[in-house]
Amino acid sequence: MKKKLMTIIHWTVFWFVKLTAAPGLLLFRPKVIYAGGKRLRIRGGALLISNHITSFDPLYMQLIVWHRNHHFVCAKEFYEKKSRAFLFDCFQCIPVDRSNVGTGTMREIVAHLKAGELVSMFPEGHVNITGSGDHELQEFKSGMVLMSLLAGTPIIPMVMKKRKTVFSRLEAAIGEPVDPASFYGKRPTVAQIEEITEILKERTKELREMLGD
Amino acid sequence: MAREEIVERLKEILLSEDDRKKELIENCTEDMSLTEDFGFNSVGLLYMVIDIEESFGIRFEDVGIGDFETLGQVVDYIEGRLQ
Repeated sequence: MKKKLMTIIHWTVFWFVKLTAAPGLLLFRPKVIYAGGKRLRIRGGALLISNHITSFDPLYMQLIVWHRNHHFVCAKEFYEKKSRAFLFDCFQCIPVDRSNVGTGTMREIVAHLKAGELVSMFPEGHVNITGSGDHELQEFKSGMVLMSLLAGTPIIPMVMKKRKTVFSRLEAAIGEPVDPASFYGKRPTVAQIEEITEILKERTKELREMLGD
Repeated sequence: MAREEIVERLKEILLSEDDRKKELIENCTEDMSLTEDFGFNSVGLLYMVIDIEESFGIRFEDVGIGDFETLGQVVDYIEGRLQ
C-alpha cells in the first residue's frame, strides 16, 4: 500500500516538474544532428549512452530526447541524502553501486529495457574532468553491452558538446542504433564484449567529430 | 550433484566465456582468486552468474564481484542453492 502511494507521489512530482518546466526550457531547446542524416525516432526499449561532461547532463539528455521518459543509471552515493533520493526516485533513476555492480541492478535495467522503456547511462561511469579541458573520452564500461544483449535491445550513442556560456545553445549528435548481437551473436565471449564496447566508443568519437567538438 | 561435477561444469562455463585463459581454467583450483588469477571484473562476474543460472537452473540473489573472492566460494554458493 505504502509502495503504491509512493509511486503515485513520484509520478505526480515527475509530471508536475516536466510540464511546468517545459515552456521555459523551450528557450534552451537543443540543436540536434543525426548521424543517419534524418531525425531518429527512438521507439521501444533502448539504451541511450552519452559522454558525461557536467552534472547537468541528465537534464540535457532529457531535453534532447524529450518525448521519452528516461531511467537514468545513477551512482548509489547520490542516494545517501533522503531529499535527493526522493527526487531521483521521482525521476525513475536506477541506483548502481559502481564498485560492486550487482545482479539486482542488472536485472532491473534489463527488465526496464524488455518493457520497452528507455534507459540512459554514461558509460564513462563519472563526469569527465580530464585536465586538458578537451574532455577526451575515458574508458567505457562494458556492462551496457551485456545488459543490452540480455534484453535484446539496441544501444544508441549520443554526444553533447560543452556549452561555452550558460546562454549558449546546447548542441548534440545522435548516432544510429547499434545492435550488439549483430557482431558476434547473443552470447559473445568476454573479449568480444570488450571489443563491442570499444566499437561504441569509436562511434561516440565519430559523433564528436561530426559536432566539431 | 557432487562438488567435482559442479567444478567441472563451472570450468566449461568459464571456457565458453573466455577462451583466452584456456590453460588457466583447465588447471584451476578452488582457492584461486576471481579477480587476481582470472582477471574478473564486475561484468565478467555478472556474465558468469547468468550462465550458471541457466546451466544449473538456480537463481542468484543480489550478488556482485565483492561477494565472491575465490572460485571455491562460487562452488559453495551453487552447492547451497542446489540443496
